[in-house]
Amino acid sequence: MQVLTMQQTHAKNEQGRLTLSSRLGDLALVNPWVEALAAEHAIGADTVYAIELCLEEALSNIVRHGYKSAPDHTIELSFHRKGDAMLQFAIEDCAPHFDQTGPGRQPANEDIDYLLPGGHGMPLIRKFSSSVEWEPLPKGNRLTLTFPSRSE
Amino acid sequence: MKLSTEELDGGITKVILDGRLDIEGAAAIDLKMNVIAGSSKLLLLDMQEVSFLGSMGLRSLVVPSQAVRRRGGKVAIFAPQKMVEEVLKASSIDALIPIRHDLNDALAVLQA
Repeated sequence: MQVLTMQQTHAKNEQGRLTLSSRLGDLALVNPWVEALAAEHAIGADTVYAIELCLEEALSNIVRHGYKSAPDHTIELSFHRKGDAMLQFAIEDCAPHFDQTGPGRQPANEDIDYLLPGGHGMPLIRKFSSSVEWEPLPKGNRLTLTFPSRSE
Repeated sequence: MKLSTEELDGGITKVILDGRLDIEGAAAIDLKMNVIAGSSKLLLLDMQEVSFLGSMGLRSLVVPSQAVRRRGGKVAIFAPQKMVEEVLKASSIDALIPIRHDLNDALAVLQA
């Protein structure tokens, strides 16, 4: 069933790489890919949670803001180990230059009536990753997220 | 993502959430949450079985909570899992919607 879904959405899953279409529905393919990497590399549950959270936030930003929800573009994910200590995920797109690591909107915190329902994505990425770096490409963007590789 | 409700004494509506509150899960409950928020003034969000919470899921909690508060009601979150609670705290939601791990404490927040 999963393979059929990936064929339908043109997603590709190779070892350490995943290609997605720029559709929010394709984000459902990321978690099985991360789970497979976690099993292969003995990544602990809390780190898996952090990876899935940060990837969902970053990818949904690319789909909604980078590609403005146009569905016929691609997003390339790749995974690398950095020695024994760090796990690195790179996300490449072909959207106009878009620095997700900027300040963005800051949610208010004085009263629930003034709390913005959005704007939490990048603060969550900063909180749950070890580092986040944005790099403009000649045609697109590369966002690199790093996580500790400890298995809890 | 599953959502069910249970009416408790004192006019409290317990909303039992079960599954992943990711983009897909948030879309699955948004309408139901807004309907519940429109008819209940005391909302207990039971998050024991929520295994994942992202920013779209946060939105699914914050928007109906704002609606309840604007009508003079109260909202409390009950028993989130460790990483889910970290997301709530990282987003400062805990300062706005009290989190309690004891059911009686959570009910007391609503009945105060």
